Amino acid sequence: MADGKGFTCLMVILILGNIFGAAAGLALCALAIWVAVDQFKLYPISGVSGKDDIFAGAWIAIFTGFAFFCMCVFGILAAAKKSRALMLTYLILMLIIYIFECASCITAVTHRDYLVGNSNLVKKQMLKYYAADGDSGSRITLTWNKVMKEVECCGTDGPVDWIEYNSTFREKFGTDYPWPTHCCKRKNNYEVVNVEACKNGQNTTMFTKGCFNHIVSVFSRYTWAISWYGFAVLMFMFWLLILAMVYYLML
Amino acid sequence: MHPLWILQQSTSVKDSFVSTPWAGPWLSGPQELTWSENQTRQHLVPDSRMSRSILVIPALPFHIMLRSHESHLFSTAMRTMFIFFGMLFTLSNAEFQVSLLKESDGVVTGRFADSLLLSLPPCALATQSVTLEYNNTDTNESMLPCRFRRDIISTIENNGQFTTSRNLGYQVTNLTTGSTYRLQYVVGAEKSNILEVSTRQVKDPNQIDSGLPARSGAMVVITVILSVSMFILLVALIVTVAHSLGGD
Repeated sequence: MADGKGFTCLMVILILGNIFGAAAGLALCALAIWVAVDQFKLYPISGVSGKDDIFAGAWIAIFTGFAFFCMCVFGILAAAKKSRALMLTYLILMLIIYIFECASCITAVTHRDYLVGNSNLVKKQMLKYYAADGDSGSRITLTWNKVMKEVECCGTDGPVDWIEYNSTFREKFGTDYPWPTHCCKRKNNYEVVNVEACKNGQNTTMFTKGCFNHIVSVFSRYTWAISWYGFAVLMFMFWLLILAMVYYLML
Repeated sequence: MHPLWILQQSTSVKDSFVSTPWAGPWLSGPQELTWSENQTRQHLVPDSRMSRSILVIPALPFHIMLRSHESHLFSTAMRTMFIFFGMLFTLSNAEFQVSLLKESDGVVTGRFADSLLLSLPPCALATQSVTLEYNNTDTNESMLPCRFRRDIISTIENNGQFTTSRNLGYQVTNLTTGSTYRLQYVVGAEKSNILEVSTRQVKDPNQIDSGLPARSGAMVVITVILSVSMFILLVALIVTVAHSLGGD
């Protein structure tokens, strides 16, 4: 069945599919680099909890994305040369990369569920590590201070978290300040507008919304980039590989 | 407090007449009139001019008239309507309300672990000395704090043209965590209702269950479909290689 019209058609489809697959793989690589860079600087929240596979998935996706690009270029070559050995190499290597990319997608979305399925893990971590000593404590404190200042929020679900539960912050600084001063509104010169009013909890001088919504949206954005886009690339590669196997059988 | 209403509004003279019908005895001694507009409180102690303007008709509701062209009594003459709040009178079951401050009052919460935020007595009782009696229902110790002004929570809003200062409430401090208190204001002969609240019980954060809450739909879909596709590809590759080897 070596040289029929269907055969040429299949070869053309395979070459075009590989061109598209190369582009998709390169885009996956770029997107995974964006996730790994973590512009919102929320990595410590996942790192300290041990559930940081959103970022591990991003690193895997950088390599598999680039590998898909290289393999698809090789696939164009193998299809055009009509060589059995090259096509077999192509199929085996693509399957290995496929399996790694599957692992990246699945683990990223699973760890997202652990981290931000509900606010408990983030709240417990905040209460335990904010103002604590040690490396974890300082990283969490810096992260939360940054989030509270930029997003204008306080606590996980709200400022009430700080007075509802005991915390390292409360044990260290006592109950004079019910919540950290980063919850208070500040002027442009970084001075607190009214410390006493903030301590009493007046709405106009402090931030009253919780930070959890922001944290969920950031982690979800990262996860959808890695897992859903990776899923889309993999679905395309699935059909490309099936076609490549049919082509190999025709060679 | 009895309800007040405006009897008539005269357009020629800028004043209003408010009637306060009641059957109680007329209080003797100097009376204080207070009225408030928006959030500022004005307080007027009557002087000799005032008494000239008051007509008292015995056994009938009486009218209080203050003419606005006696303008020195009114420092803010741009107003077109005055609302007068009533006089104090002693009925044996007079009671005003005390409550915890809520979110609608402008604070995050009224219950802390070691303090409570209470609403203030009504404006009509201003300038009188107030005592707050509260006792811990568990230990039954009573407290009568004599300082009042220092723990008032007030907001100061400054919008560049004028500053208004408002008193939001009173903070009762040095309470024990997680215990119930009964609080009551006493103003002269008037008492408020007894408010029974408890301070917050501080919970242990290690009790928070931070395990996996639930698997989301996205996770299930991605896992299932990718696992199935991996399996199919593996099987297909093995079949392909075997067929091509067998076929040669």
